[in-house]
Amino acid sequence: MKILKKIRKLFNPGQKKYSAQTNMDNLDISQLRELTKKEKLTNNLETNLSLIRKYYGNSLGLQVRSINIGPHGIRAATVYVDGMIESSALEELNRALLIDTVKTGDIPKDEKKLISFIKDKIIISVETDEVNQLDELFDHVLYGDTALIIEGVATALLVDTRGWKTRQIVESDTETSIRGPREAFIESINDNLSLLRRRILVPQLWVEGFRVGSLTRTRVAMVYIKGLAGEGLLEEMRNRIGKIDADKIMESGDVEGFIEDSPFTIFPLMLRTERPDRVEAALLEGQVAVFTDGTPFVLLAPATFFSMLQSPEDHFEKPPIGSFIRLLRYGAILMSTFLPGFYIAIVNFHPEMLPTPLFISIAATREGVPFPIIVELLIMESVFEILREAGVRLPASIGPAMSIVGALVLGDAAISAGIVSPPVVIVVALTAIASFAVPNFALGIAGRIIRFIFVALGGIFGLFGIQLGIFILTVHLCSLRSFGVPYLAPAAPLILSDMKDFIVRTWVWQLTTRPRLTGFREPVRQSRRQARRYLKILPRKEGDEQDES
Amino acid sequence: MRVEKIANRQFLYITVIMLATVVFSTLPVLTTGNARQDAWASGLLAFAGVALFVNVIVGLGVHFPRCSVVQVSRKLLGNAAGGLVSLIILWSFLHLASLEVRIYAEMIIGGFLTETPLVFVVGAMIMVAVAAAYAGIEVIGRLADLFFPLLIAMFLVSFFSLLFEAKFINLQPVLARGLGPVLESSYNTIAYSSYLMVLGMLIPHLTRPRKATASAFWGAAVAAFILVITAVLTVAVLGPEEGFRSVFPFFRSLRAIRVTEFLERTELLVIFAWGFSLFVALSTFIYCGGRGVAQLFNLKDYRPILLPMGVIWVALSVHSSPDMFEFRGLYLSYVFGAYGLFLVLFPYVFLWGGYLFRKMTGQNPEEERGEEKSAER
Repeated sequence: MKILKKIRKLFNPGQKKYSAQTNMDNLDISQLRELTKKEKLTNNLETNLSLIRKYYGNSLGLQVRSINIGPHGIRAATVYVDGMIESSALEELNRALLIDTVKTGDIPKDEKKLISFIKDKIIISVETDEVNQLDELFDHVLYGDTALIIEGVATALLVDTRGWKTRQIVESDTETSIRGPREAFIESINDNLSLLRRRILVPQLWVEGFRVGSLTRTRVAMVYIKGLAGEGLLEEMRNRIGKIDADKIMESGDVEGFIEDSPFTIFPLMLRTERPDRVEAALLEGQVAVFTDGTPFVLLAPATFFSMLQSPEDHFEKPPIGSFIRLLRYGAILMSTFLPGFYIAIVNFHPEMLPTPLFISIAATREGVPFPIIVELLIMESVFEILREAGVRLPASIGPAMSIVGALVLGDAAISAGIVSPPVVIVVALTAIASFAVPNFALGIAGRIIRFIFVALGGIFGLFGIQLGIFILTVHLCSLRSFGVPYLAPAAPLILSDMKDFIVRTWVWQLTTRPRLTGFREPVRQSRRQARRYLKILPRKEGDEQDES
Repeated sequence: MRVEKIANRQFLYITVIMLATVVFSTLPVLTTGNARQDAWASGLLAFAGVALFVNVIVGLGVHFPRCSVVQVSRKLLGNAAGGLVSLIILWSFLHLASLEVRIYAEMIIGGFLTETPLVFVVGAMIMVAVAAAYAGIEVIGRLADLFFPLLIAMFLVSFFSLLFEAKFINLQPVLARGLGPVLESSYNTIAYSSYLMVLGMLIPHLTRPRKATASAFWGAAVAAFILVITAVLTVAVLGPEEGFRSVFPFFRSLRAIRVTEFLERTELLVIFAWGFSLFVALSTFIYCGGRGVAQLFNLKDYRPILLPMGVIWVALSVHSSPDMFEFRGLYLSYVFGAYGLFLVLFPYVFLWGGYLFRKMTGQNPEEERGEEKSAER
């Protein structure tokens, strides 16, 4: 073997020359990451720069600018990544380092003092930081900071020069509302946090940052109101986010998959939203928000089933209107889940429940239809799902063509050809419309999937099958928890004080308490006294005074 | 392991649901059996009896807020005798639940799915209940929370619609045949308090076990209220003779409702409500049975034995009688009255005897209050 190796060396003399290079080539990404974590900055500027070069490789973008600081000309270098920085901030930094240091004159010789001098008296940038680990340096530099490395100092000074293009803040497409704020989150976590911060102007709005994903190093932030969110909830959330071991976090869905309570359910256990007002309302009820960089969707926990059926504008409209809309929505999700199942069960097994004329007209339309009713329903439901999915992917310009194909060809022609009966088309259309009235997309999808199960159960066992399905569904829903909060709260377990904002909502001055399971630390949200102004007709209660004190 | 907790409110709901399923299925026929038009009177009398039994069953459990009735019986009577006594209680769970589900299945098959085999309906109901019991008592409590308003709403709707059909002249003459028949049918109804023995298993899971008696009492009161109104309306709509003869008199009377052309066969809604409450009752029975067996044989977890128990349940339910008519023989007052009362009285006479004996001999059988409080924290 040794001889073979020697012979190989004879024929390949250049191998030794590039040993450093081949060393890097042979290392896999995890080994490279491990190595990066071990590396520390040294006193020597050249070594530091070559260290950075070594790990960054030949790839484009990394800019190193050598400068001399102060009247004595201390050698230093700024390191930054092209395209991640704002050039005016960088120019400002360079001007400060090159010109202001010379003007000041009395620069300390000692390295330790030098760096704090520069940090405290020279740099006018907003945010500075000191690091001595290579991976920390990369964490910052690759995120748009500029690193200042000085000869003879083993720490690098990081200056915030971040600046890159972000999307305009526009209205949300998926969560529109008639009344209420229009702005929605965008892909940048900093902009998202600022959207939220503008709404809650107390220092107790706390943000805890995480870097998640071994390769993407995505910034994830956990936002809550200190003193309002339960400490147990916060600890649990911290733990769960901290335990995420993934190479990538591309979207909040990735975070959700890692931190949700039970993966074996089709119901969303965390509420996703792209509306700052929604997040604000949730935080004020003691919930926790999880922001993820690179996505406009923010996760809210703990989430309950009924909170997904609410929309912020329920609270902006007058109570009767908000309650009415909310009732409609509850009806809509029931309809989108159960209507086809009930239809098939009643027509197939219990026609006596229908009024006779109605049943006769249904039976008449089914004349000549070749399929059993269950096949008819499954065909039409599947067609609708395909249409819906295709509609999402279609470019806007082809949209009208799609609706013509869907409405005319599939709906009208299928009926006149006698393949499906008109009542089935009506049922499918009704469920489709109803499922879009559910404000939470994930919940709407869950309802749609369950619908197929109920069609099967109703088609095979009639109403008894539907009942069995409801039993299993309720057992499942009742056993779910989202961060310790029962999923069906406040209906099961029944919490009477939360009924004020449940199926119907009362006037805003009557919403005096927070939801008990999340806002238990400060249950009273506003004084009960003001309600009396509106309720002059009602007599004063004795206990009211004591409650407020 | 953490002890699962349910609120006293949920305990109350479970009590109501347990007794209300009986009302749905059979009670009118039982009470009208002999009392005929005076069914309401025997209903009232039955409430007094059930309230007494609530005190017997729950009243003992309140002294042992952290023990189920199986543990209490071993504590009071020793391992061997206590085990035997608790076997009777566990048998009652098994048998009563299998009777309940059988009635429901016969109703479904007789009225709707005429060609479905009995074992499928029974098996499906029990397996679903096993799933709920597997999820734990907290889930069952939440189910009770969800279904209780539904149940009450269904009752209210059917009561109000029955009011239009009711001919209260049917209730006369009041107490025409003296108190004898009334007492006799109420005796049968009281036997239904054997259904309440599950409450003894639930007490350690309560958030406030010391107040269990009050909760159970109010539950029994609501159930009695429902019972009396149902009895009155059934007799008023159908008349005493028809009410006596029909298999499911309450549904029979509901079938009489016709609001224009559109609303017919409203009894389906009530059958739905019955199904919901039966589901809660069944899962409570199965949960308590599984828990009890696990405690009797010192098993760590009750969950693995639920499925085998469910299979036994199905077999018992299907094979207990060949058809509905023989099955109804069991509910005759001299059969079920004696049987139900035996199921309650036999174990509880021994348990109370043991309790009082210990109390008199100076061994304090009760748990310390302080201990309980520290455990709650």
